[in-house]
This record gives sequence, C-alpha cells and structure tokens, in this order.
Amino acid sequence: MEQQTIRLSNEADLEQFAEELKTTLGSMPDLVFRSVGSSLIVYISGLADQQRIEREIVEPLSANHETEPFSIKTPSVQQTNNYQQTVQAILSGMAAVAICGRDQVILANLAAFPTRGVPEPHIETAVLGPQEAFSENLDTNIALIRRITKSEKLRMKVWHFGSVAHTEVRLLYFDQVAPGELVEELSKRLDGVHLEDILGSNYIAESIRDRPLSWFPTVQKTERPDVVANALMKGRVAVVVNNTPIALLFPFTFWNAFETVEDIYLSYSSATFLRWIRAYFILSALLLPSLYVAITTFHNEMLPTNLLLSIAASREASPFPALVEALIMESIFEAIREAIVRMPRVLVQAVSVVGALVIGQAIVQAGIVSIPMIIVVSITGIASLMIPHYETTFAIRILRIILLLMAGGLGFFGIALGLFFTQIYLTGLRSAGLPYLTPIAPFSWKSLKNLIIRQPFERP
Amino acid sequence: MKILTTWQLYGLVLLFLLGTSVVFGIASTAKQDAWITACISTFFGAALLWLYSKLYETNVDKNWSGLLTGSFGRYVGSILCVIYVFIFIYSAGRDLRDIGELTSTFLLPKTPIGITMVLFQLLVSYICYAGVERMGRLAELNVPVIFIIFLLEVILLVASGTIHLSLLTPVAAEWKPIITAAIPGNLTVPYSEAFAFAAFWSKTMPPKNFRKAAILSCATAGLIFIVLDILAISSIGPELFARSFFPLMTTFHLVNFADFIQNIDPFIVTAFLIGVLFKISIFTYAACAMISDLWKVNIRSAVIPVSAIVFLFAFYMTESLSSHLFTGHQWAIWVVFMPFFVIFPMLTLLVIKLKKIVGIGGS
Repeated sequence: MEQQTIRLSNEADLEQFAEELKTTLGSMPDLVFRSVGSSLIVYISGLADQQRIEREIVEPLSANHETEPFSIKTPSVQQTNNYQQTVQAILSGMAAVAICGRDQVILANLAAFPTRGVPEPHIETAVLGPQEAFSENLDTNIALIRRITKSEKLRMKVWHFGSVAHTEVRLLYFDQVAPGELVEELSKRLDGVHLEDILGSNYIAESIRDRPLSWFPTVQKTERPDVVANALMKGRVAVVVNNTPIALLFPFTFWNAFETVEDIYLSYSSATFLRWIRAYFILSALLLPSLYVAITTFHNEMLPTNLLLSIAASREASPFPALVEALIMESIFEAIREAIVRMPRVLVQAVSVVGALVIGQAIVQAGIVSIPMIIVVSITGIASLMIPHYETTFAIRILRIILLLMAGGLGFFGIALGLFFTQIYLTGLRSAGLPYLTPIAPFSWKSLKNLIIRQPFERP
Repeated sequence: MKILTTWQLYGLVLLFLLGTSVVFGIASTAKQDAWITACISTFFGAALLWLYSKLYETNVDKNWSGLLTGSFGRYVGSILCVIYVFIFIYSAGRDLRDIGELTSTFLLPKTPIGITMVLFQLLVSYICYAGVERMGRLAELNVPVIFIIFLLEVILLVASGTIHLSLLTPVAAEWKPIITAAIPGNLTVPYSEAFAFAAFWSKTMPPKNFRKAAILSCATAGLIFIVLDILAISSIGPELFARSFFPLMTTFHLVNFADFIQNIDPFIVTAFLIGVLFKISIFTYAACAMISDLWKVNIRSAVIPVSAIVFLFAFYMTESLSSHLFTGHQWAIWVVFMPFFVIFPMLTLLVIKLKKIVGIGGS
C-alpha cells in the first residue's frame, strides 16, 4: 500500500486535501467538512459526537487564531501525516482537524457510536449471579472484565482482521497466571489467521480452535463477563472480538460443558446437587431413546413382566418398529426446537399448542407412535435442554441419533460400540494443548474433586 | 519414554486381566474351592509379573523383539519374533471369538457371529491406530465404570438373597484340583497373558513404575476374581459352577431385586465387553508393535492387516462354543500360553543374566 503523506503548507493544499478526501470517501451526505478560520474539520456525522466537536474543537479554534494544536480540548488526540491513517480514523468516528501551515493532521477521538447498553444475559442465565452480559462494543466488554478483575497482571495482545471491516481482536490473559506456552500457542494461531472480513467471534473460533471439523466444541463461548474474569484468574485465556457479544475461552474441556456459572453463586450443597442432577439427565439425553429401542427390540426379558405387558399393549396399535417411532418423534422434537428459535417471538404460543396438543395427542390416537415412546422422547428433549453449554448440546444430539440407529440395528452391543468409538475419539481431542477429557483422562484428583463436588470456599 | 502415568498403566493391566476371565469364571474346575485357587494364582501371577518387570529391567529401552534379537542373534531372534507375532494374533483371535460367542449367546442370537466380530475388530483397529497414550486414557475412563458396575452387581446379588455361604463347604477337602486349577490353568489365563505388554513396554513407563502398576492391578484383579468366585459358588452351587460355560452369567441370571430388576444379563455382558475390548486391543497392538520393530515400519500401517488376520483366526478357529472352550482349556494352555508366555521369557531372562555374569557383552 502506498504511503501518502499530507502537506498543508497553504490554503491551496488544504483545499486539495478536502478534494482528495471527497474522492476517497465519495461525497457522502453524512461526511461533514467544516471550516473554522484557516483550519478544516472533517468527520462523519453519525459516528462522531457533534456537540463535543462544537465544544472541544470549534470553540477553542475560533477563539484562538494562533492555531495552537494544544488549544483543542479533546482528551484523546494524536497527530499524523499519513493519509490512509487519516481516512481510517475518520471512518472509525474520529474528527480530523487539518490546520493550514502544519503538515500534521490532528485526529481527535470523539467517537460516539450508536451502541446498546450493558444487556442482561439471555443464554447463560444465573438466578443468583450478576445480571450483566457482553454487548457488541469491544471497549465496553473489556471494561466489564477489568471492573471485575482490577489486576495489574491483565495483559492484552491486539490483532486486526479484514481490509474492509478492520475488526479488532484481543487476546486477554493474566501474566504469570496463564501458562506461557498457552499464550504463545494462541498468539501463534492468531498470527496464522488470514481472514478477509469477519463478522463475529465464530470466524476466529473456527480458525483457531483445535479440530475445527469436530462436532465437539473445543472452545468455550460465553456472554458473561464474570465467566471470563473467573477463567482468566484461573489461568485460562480469552479472545474478545469487536462487534460480538460472545467471548471465546481457551482451553475448554469436555467436563467444562457441564459446569454452569450458577455453581459459584449457589451454596456448595445445592450446586453439587444440581450438578449431579444435570449429569444424570445429560446421560439420559444421550442414552435414553437408544436404551428404550434396544430393550424393546432385542432384550425384552430385561423388563419386569407387568411393564413389558403394558408397553406391549400400547405398542400394539403402532405399525412401525420402535426405531422408526423413535426417529419420527426425534425429528418432530428437533423441528419444534428449531422453529422456536427461528420464528418471531410472538408466535411461540402457537407452536406450543400445535406441538403439545396436535402432535402429542393426535399422533398417539392415530396409532402412529406409542405413548411410551412419546414419554421417552419428551424426557430426552427436556434433558438435552439442561446442558449449560449451547454447542455441546449439538454434539450430544447428533451422537444420540447415531446411537439410536446402532441400538436399532444391534441392541446393547451397538450402543456399546458407539460409546466406545466416541470415547476413543474423545481421548484424541485436545483444546489448546489440554487433553479434552482432563481431569478424568489424564487423571488429576485435584480438579476432579472439584468436578464431582463443588468444593466449599475456604472458611476462616 | 514416560508416556503413561502409573494410574493409566494400572487401568490398562487391570482391564486386560479382567478381560475374558470374568465371563468364563476363574478356575471353575476347582468347584467350591475356586476362590482358594484364585488366591493362590493371584500370588503366583504377581510373582510372574514381577519376573517380567525384571526382564524389562535388563534392557530398559528394548521391547521383547529387541530382547529376542539381542539374546539369540539376529536370525533366530527374528524367527522367534515372527512366532510371537502369530501367538499374539492367535490370542487376540481367541478372545475375539469369545466375544462373538458371548454376544450370540446373550445379546444377538439372530445376528451372524461374523458381523459382530468384524464390528468389534474395527473398534479394536481404531484403538490400536490411536496408540498407547490414548489407550491409557481410555483405560482411565473405563476403570471407574468397571468398579461401579462390579459394586452394583455385588449389591444386587446380595440384595436378591441368593447367597448361601454353606455351599462353599467343604473348604479345601482336596488339594489336587485346587493346585491343578491354579497352575497352569489360572496362572496362564489371564496372568501370563499380560506378557503381551512386553511387546511395547518401552513405550509405556520405566520398569519401576511398570512393576508397581502391574502388581497393583494384579492384586486388584485377584480380589475381584475371589469376590466373584465366592458370589458365584454360593449362589449357584459348586456343581453348576463347574459345568456351566458362563458361570458368572448363570449367577447374575438369579438377580431379582424387588421383582423389578431381573434378567440383567444383557447389561452384564455389555459391561464385560469393556475388559475384553482391552484384551483384544492389547494383543493386536502387541502384534503390530512387534511387526513395526522387526521391519521398521510405522505401527499404524500394520494395524489393518493384523486386524484382518485376527478376524480370520477368530472366524475359522472352531466349530462350536464347546470345542472352542475345550481348545482353550486343554490345548492352548500347554501349546501356547505355558511355553511362550511363561517358560520362554524365563529362559530369556536366564540367558541375559548368565551372559551378564559370564561377561560376553550383555549389551
């Protein structure tokens, strides 16, 4: 890229500078040129704060014709003679002040983007925790993290991606707390990213996470500043991307997916109780339909006679084998789930009615699917909504369908095969160098006991 | 060199030892004294593992193939290595056949035995392809599962009220069946089979930790065998225990907890699959490791051919379950396990020690 320098020795130069800007940026209606005496102020009206320009630049300049640069009252000011940088600064909301007789343009940071305030968390809710979430503004997000940690050890590394969007990406870590090799590894990965334009942290996540094609997430995505701060203090590393309310955390292990923020805001007994309930139902979410299909198809003898008879009686009307029933119900449930996420909020009621009454009732009365299958799939559906980490849900859901197919073909043997394949696959996964199944494999009692029972905080 | 942790190797050896033995019962020929046999053979098994670790100590950086070529010269050593490759493949094939018979008896009577065995061997290939480190992690993941399942089984059996300890009497009325069931029977299967680890032990841990892990897991396995034997004998009686193909399955068939949990054999068999999986994987991996040491090829490139041969061995090995078990109890012990897993390694240890004493460069 050519380095164009700016010369502003006389009025003609100033005029030429204005013309150049007009050709570069196009004559946009929101691009404002304002002359004050022998100086020119350029900014974009929606991005820069007009009142502050009036107060901090125009007033001092018109009062003081000596054109002292220090008469500008804006706190954050820099000087440059680089044309490209000036253009970029104008586009990111700064006001460029060109003063005749000086070869430097003053860039005053008066950016006032339209942003929303600090929102409430919608994805990771905590009943008793703080009610703050990240927004789209990088500076606000960093400020939220800083407000919690207030440590001189917090370090940041900065990257910019894309020639059009110039999205800023920051790597946050605690010096001497986060292992050096972890920071180095992630810096290396971020250096290697050659993305043109990015819209959100998932672009970065997919380019720097381990095994980008794996179903299992190897990076944690969070919307909560307290989660990020907590992770940083424990020596993990965060990647914050401008224009996204979702921060990335490395490393991320399989078991992290089952911990919630709530755990640290509840008493240790309730947190542990909830954790166990969650673990139990997540296991059901994975296995319940396949166990049901395997038992009713291959291992009938395992059921007590009464239960077997009642299941057989309710299955009598259904023309399909259990596997097909399960697949029908699973696909309907997935459809309802997706519909609820996609459709306008006002219609949620309608889907609930259709889902519960029409499908739940009618499908049984029509004799297409038996009642026990509906119960099983409903429990599974509720259980899969209990997984605190959104992306792990997908892994569990895909795996559930595969296990279901294997159970339909080979019964318990098929389920065992499927689980073994998954286990071997997971032993090979890593997240930023850390084996995915830590602390169970490789074993580490110190962190394992905190996983099984949320350890009580230290007492005086 | 230190790829695994002690806990991982402990899990690997433990699951390997539990392997098929929990299915077929330990020392059922000793009838009501099978648990005494289990005690004795655990003791001898630990001694055997200790000797293996001594053998490992003589050359820390060499696997079994290296020891063979080192002690018997390149040509004789290489031929012995090839024999060992087939021994390992045969052992893996035997266990694969066990799985096939077990699934077709208890889980999938209508599915052809070939299909279950192919699928299982595919799984084994994947494990071997993953390598020792991930195998260790897999063991770590499954050891707690195994412990929990055994605990459940014991609780369920006791709660079902099937235990009659009087069936254990008379204790040790005859010593001869106890001893013959222990040596060679129980000593060779499963303890001497752990010699498969020799094929790749320099990739696991230093001899000291290897010994610690192996003997610890030997003790744990022995304890589990003793408990299971006592449970089985006192539930189904010594006669049925001795005659049944799958004495433990027969035992767990008696489970009836509150008229709700009954006939749990499919569940038990599935749990048993864990141990057998590790056993076949380690035998297959041992064969691959010997091949890779001998011909200097990548271990992964040997996995698929070896797995294919294992499957063929398993498929054409025998006509029926009873002839399969007969071969295992009578023939394989004397032709395969005793000479190749017990006598020959001891001989090699002796040769190496003698060479060191005489001082002709025991490398």
